[in-house]
Amino acid sequence: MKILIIDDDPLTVELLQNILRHAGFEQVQGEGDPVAALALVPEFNPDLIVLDMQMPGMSGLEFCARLKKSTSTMGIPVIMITAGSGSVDDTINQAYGAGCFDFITKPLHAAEVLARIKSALTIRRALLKLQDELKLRAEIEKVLQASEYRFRAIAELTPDAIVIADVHEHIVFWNRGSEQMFGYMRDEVMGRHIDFLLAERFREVDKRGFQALSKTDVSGLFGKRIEAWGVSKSGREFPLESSMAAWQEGTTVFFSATIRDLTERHTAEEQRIEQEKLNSVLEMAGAVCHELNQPLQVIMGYAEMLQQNLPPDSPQQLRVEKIAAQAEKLGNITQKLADITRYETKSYIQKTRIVDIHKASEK
Amino acid sequence: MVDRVLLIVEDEPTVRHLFKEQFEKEGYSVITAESAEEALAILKTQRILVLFLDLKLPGMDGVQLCREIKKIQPISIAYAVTGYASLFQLTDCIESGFSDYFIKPVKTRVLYKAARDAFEKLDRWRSK
Repeated sequence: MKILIIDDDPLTVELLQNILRHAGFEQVQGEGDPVAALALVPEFNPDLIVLDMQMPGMSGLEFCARLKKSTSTMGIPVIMITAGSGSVDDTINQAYGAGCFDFITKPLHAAEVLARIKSALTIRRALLKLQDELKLRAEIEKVLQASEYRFRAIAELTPDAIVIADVHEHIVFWNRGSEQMFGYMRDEVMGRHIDFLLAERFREVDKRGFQALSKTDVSGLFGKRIEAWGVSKSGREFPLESSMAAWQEGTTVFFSATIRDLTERHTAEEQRIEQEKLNSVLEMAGAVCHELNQPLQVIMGYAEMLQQNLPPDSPQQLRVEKIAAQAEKLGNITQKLADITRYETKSYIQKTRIVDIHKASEK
Repeated sequence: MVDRVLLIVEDEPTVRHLFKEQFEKEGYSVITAESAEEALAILKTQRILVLFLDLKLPGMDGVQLCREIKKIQPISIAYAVTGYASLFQLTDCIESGFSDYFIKPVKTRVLYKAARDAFEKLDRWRSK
């Protein structure tokens, strides 16, 4: 701790310096001229000033008053040394009135001087510590505010619903995504039990899930995904996927659910399965056409050759003709089947419609 | 006049024999191959300008075979004869250079007409 002694009497300065150095204070500076001392204060930045009350040029009271005017120096405690002449009440009033922390009356006694200085420094230290803590707190507050702002921004801008509930499963946070997904405004849901967000048939399952959780060790829930059906304010049921998390603030446990509406994904998946089914049916129909048409070609080809070889009036002509005609009829059927598969394939490729395979097979 | 020689490429033996008999009866010389690779080997030694190709062949398929034939002999006339062709295959048929395609079962007179038209066309080209 740094101490500045100001007294026009060099002997007093020396005496005080000796007392203080002897007591272990290393940074002790003496100054005889109060005007020069006042200029020195901002640079030396003492933790305590010991000041003579009566000095030529500037009185201790004026010095003190000036010191208290500046915000950078007003916090430095001042102990005034008085000559001991005059009214004690006046001295006390004047010294405290000027903002002094304490005063010592001459003649100086080492023990008293040290006791008063140490007491002033103890308070000075406590004040400095408090100031530091306040500064630190202000910085933490700033960081927390920034962090809170970021969280709000992320939570509000995401299209996912983010719902936070306390240990009793009562909603404490509801973002804009939740408003859009479920149709409830924030004011309508705060404090409500989360049950109403799930379709009736999932509520019991959900309850058991929560009850199975240890309320003190919530790490088991972290990252857990559940798929269920949600229900909106309008009564619309929709598939959802929820990522769960839990954490502890002090002794209180909170749960968060980040919820995604799977309606689109489900529809796309259903369409994909439908299209795959259709595709395999079309492929199979094509293969059947191919396999049937090979023998039909042979039957028809040889029947036609026989017809040409037989005499026109042969009784066999009519029979062979029937074979050829039936082969042709079968050929027409496979041709129709091939046409259907090609027609359906075309619609499927152009995505002009989703083909109902049951209807397609009826054609 | 262009020699009346046909190449039939068909992996199914009974269909291959039928086509050979039918065309020979009509007065054509018929060479057959049961795969695309065999057909290409034949075409290295013989100049055959009218061809009937099955699309579904083991190994190289009919579409690819047609592309290869068109590289060797661009003037040649190739017909696709198939049991079934998907939309993709039909598009490929046009692109690979087939003059036409027929879905089995094909009537004898339709095959004869295709062969007759092909040779008439080739003769016209040659007379110019």
